[in-house]
Amino acid sequence: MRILSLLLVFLSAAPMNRASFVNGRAHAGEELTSDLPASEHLRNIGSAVDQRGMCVMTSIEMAARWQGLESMRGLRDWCAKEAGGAYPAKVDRQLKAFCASRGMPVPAYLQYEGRSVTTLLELCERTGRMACITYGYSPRYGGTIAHMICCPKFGGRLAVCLDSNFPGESGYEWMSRDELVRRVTYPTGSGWLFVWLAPPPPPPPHN
Amino acid sequence: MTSLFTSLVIFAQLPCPGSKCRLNAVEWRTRGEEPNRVYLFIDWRQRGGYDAERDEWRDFDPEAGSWAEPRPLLPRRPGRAPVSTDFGVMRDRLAAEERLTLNGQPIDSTDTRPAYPGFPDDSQWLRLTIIGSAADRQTVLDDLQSHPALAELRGRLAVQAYDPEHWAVAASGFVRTGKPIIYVQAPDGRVLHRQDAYRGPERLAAALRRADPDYHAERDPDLDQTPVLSRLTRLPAWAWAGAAILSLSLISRWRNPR
Repeated sequence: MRILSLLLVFLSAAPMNRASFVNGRAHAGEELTSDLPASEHLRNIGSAVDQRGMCVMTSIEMAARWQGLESMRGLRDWCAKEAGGAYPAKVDRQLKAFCASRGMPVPAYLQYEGRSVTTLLELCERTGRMACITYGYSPRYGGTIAHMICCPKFGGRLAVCLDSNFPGESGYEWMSRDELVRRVTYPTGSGWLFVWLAPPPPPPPHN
Repeated sequence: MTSLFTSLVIFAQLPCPGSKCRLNAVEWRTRGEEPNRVYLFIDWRQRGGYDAERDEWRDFDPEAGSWAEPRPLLPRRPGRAPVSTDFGVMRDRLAAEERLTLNGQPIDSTDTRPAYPGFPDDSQWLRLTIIGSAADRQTVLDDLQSHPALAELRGRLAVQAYDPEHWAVAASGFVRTGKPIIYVQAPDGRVLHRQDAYRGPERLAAALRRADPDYHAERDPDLDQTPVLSRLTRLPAWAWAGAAILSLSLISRWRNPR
């Protein structure tokens, strides 16, 4: 009986182990670090060629907007003229082609694939940059997903997901930092991060 | 699965023979990288796994080392509508090994962390922000990039340039009417310097030096002096006075020993 009870307790508690919740730009005294205005949020679309999702370039263009890379506006729609779906080498190729088409150099960026995502996320948080990160799970979807989102906060106690499938100021998904790391590396144990190296916008001026 | 689950229920309710129960015989194990899954072990042999989010149970045959087809464990649980699960990441094309690249060029990540190449921790750098027309901004940016007068400061500035109507400066309290406006801020936003026109790289460099809280003129090296003399000449007057009093006191004690 004891074992059965344990089993039932586990099954009923399992979803709570990965608690996250949807909220606005602040929660419990914590605010977004990269507070990109909702007017600059982008909604994910499908490629014009095969309707496959464009979450990677959608996230990368949102991060570019945060970090003042105005020359990258239109990147997602330009890439959507090709087949959808992306991976690091394809991002390298498309960024090079996009910038070549506009006659400008490719802005500096870093890509990381691996298990140790926390250090880089902390550096992004400390320096105010918005990382684009893989996202393997969310209760919004009810199961495993192949997705990339923006991370506008990875500090204090909480981390936040800006999901291009749920753009807008009321659509931020909040969770613990550990929970976000689990979702970045889920389900393979390995994650993918993209970071523009341009600095973030300046803080509001004061005396 | 149903039979295994029923067996578990019956097994769980059986009285312990001779009051000796093998409480360790049934074990649920989890893995850090799979937060929504648990694995059932009976007598230390894997017998199945459950994905709580998908509500999928799969029997595992330890003899054959194979998994059965997934089945729902709680089919009447309030369900979520099936959703598309691929939003654009091609997981099968991600590297199996750890990999770090800078603009597509591989970097040996094991040698570089935590300092990522090209990604310095600039959180304590001064913020230099240029607000004005594209041509005015570009003049300053070009000098920041290449003028010798600004070379020394280049590695300590986080530089951004905006059109006056850009969201990053339009509603944050920045003055936006210069040709161009140049702000220098501490990392917390405190304004250390502001000029409403660009007067050339030398004058900007001088202003930046005065604005930099980490800049102390007295620490400037004077390579024309010998090191010892150089240090002595920087001693403040009170230090000289203290040294003189101490010296007189020592001489006085030496001449009049008690």
